[in-house]
Amino acid sequence: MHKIKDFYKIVEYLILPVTVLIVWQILFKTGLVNPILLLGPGKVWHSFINLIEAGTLYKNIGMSILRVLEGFLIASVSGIFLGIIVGLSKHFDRITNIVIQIIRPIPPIAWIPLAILWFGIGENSKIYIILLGAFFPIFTNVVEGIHRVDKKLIEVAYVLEIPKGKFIRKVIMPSSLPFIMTGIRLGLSGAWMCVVAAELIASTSGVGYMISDARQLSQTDVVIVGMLIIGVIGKTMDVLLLKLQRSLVKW
Amino acid sequence: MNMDKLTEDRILIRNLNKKFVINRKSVPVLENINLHVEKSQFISIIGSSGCGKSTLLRIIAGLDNDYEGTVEMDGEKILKPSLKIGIVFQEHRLFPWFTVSENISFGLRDKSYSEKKEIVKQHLELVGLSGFEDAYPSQLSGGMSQRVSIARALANNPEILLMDEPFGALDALTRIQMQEQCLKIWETKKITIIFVTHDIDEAVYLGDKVIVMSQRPGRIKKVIPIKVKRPRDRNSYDFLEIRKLIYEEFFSDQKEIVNYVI
Repeated sequence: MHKIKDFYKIVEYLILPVTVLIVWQILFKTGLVNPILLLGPGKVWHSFINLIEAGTLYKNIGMSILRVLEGFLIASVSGIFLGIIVGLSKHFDRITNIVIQIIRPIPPIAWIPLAILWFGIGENSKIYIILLGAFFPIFTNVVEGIHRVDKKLIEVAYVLEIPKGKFIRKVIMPSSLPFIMTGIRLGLSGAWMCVVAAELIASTSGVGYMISDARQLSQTDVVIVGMLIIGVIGKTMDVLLLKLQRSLVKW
Repeated sequence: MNMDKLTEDRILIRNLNKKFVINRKSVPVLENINLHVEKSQFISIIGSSGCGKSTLLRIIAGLDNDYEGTVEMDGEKILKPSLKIGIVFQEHRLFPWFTVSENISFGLRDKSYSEKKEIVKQHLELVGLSGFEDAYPSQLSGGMSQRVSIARALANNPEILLMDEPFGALDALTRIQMQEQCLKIWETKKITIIFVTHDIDEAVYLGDKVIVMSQRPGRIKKVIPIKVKRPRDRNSYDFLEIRKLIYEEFFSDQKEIVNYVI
């Protein structure tokens, strides 16, 4: 019985992607769509294989992942650290409130001109943009997680005269962990989404570069390969973090 | 020091008054509470919902300083919570990320690893949960969690234990078992207990005296000493007589309300 249910579940997962591929192929074969605008799935697949064989795909993916990780790591450390301070201290909350509220809604892309001025066109400006994409989700969720600690549990710690350090480490932190993990996942996904924008800054490597270069050469197939790669890697990173979250937050 | 006191008062409350401000109107919650609790006594406080009995307990615990009057323990004002006063709340309030053992030993200070282990073991035995050291709260039933909560409060060796309707969320059968456990703990540790409940049977079964509180604003209507010998029989004549007394306290309360309506 289970096997039949599982089978139907798999069918439901696959039915849409397969339909999309079929419709796509039909549109291509019947020439309804201008080949410059959209190449067929076969061509895309060929480009994919070519890129792998030429080694360029791995190199680009590697570069992008490296940049994302660097920006993400800095954002995580600073986001969690500042988030804890602001979350625990009403004073810091009020002091930083206005500046954060104004900067947060600015999309990382809008920072590109300033980033180039400040950091040049090397790696640093790209990492800065990626950092911005990751920082605010992490920071906001850390603060929120700390604010949402169950007051009833705080009272118990108060009654047991728990010293402040132990209280933060053993009550506030474990309690906020689910929120912090959510923030980290959103942060990584935010960082990854900024990679294309960041690599527009005069890059010579990376998946974002690969896409914008291919666009200039009207290599739509390469563009699509790049986009799909971005999607798949982004999803994989999220799944890995979700597994991490499940293993850390066991309650 | 008061030299005229013949008995040792653990807790002394004089002229306690408290108001809440709701929508800019001041609502009296506790009025003119005068209460003294002697060492190793078991006091039951009974009242209907909203009569302020939980508020009273929180004030004694040091969780609430916004009142008029004097609340003292051993002659000193209670200004904030201390490890000398343990409290068990209505909810178990166990930390879900800690095991039973970690929860119980959480408040312990200056104790070695083996000392902590021993204390946890003793207290689990006391509440009838030996062997559950490594369980997580999510794996326990309501009654078991509440027992762990009691063990946690007792592990720090408080001189006074406050219990705020601790068995309210449990089914009737578990409640009776827990009452037995409670008395066992009281007799073993010789601790002073102030027990708040809305269950008349529970109040009479457990307490050396029962403090009957009126509806809001909470006043002490009557203090009824329970001179029935322990172990008490819930169906004995003496028990039922006192139970009746207390029922009448509440009925007369309601009769007053009916008069006002007419």
